[in-house]
Amino acid sequence: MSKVIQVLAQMGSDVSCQSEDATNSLLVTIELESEIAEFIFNKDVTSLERQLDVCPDIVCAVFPAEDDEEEKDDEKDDDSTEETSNCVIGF
Amino acid sequence: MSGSLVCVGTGMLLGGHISPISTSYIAQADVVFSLMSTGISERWVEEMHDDVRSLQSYYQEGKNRNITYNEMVEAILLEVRAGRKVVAVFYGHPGVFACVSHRAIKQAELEKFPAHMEAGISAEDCLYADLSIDPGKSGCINYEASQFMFYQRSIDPAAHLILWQVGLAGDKSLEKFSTGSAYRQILVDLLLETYPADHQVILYQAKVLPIDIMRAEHITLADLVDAELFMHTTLVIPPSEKMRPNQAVLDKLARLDQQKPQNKHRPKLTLVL
Repeated sequence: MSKVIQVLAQMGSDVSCQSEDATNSLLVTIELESEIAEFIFNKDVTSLERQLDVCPDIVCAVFPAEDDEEEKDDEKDDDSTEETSNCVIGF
Repeated sequence: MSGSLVCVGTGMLLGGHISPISTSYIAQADVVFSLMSTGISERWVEEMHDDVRSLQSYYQEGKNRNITYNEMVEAILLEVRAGRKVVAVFYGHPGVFACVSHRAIKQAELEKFPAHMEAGISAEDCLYADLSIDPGKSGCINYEASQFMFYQRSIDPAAHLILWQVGLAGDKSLEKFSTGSAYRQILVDLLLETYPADHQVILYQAKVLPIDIMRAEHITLADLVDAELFMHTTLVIPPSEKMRPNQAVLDKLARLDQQKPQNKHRPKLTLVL
């Protein structure tokens, strides 16, 4: 596991790492790059994402599962994008 | 070798919410698919296994999300059919506001592969904790915001109303990643049929990274039109009225209690409002 993920996972799971002092101490112990450590300490998610080169534009839109009846309609209208779209909305 | 599918949830908070059984499924999988809500969370899952494949690449603005979801399901099923132990990892609860997991499990079962889901801590769970809402107190109704707009749904002003994905409210195309204030005005107009314009509502966003700040912004309903909303913003509308007793049912129950002598020794039930 990379050091930065190790730090974040520990901060998320260990109650003793919640305070500023504890976070600082954890960052020193794990010997994170100073720039990344600063981003974490300052809660600067945007800079951290940029530094880690992870995709900042993650999509988290979802639709609930449709019911069986809607799904049958969906199968019937397989050729029509618009019809299919409506069926999904109908979950 | 027979393939299998397990859909697991990581919970919302990186490192803090994932269950031991979900961690174990990931570790013992042949191949892992992920659909996470941030790039950093995605990296976290990638570091749990040698073969983690993000499903994010299937999303594309302007592409119907129904097509995207079917492609995701097909990618997952392809590996199951190849005889591999497949684990699909979703943020939050894998079965809440998530059609990919439900569709994939259904398809795997249709093809006679073992498939099931492990529960995770959902955004709704976090909402109750962060906003100190007990859904048992006066009830709580959850709708996906667009579905709420497209269909004639009931509002009970004595219960909490929670609208998910309010930032996408009114998107009928399934192609947008956000909708604007004109769409939101229609939503607000719909809500104004039940609530006053100055009713206090809450814009909620759960903490996903330990360095995130939970959002619980109180605004008036009328201000929702121009509020800053994201894909993961949830609208929470507290009750605007008190619960009204259903006297007809209470009378029927009282008559029933009077008719049964054996009920005399039972504890007396009182309706608490």
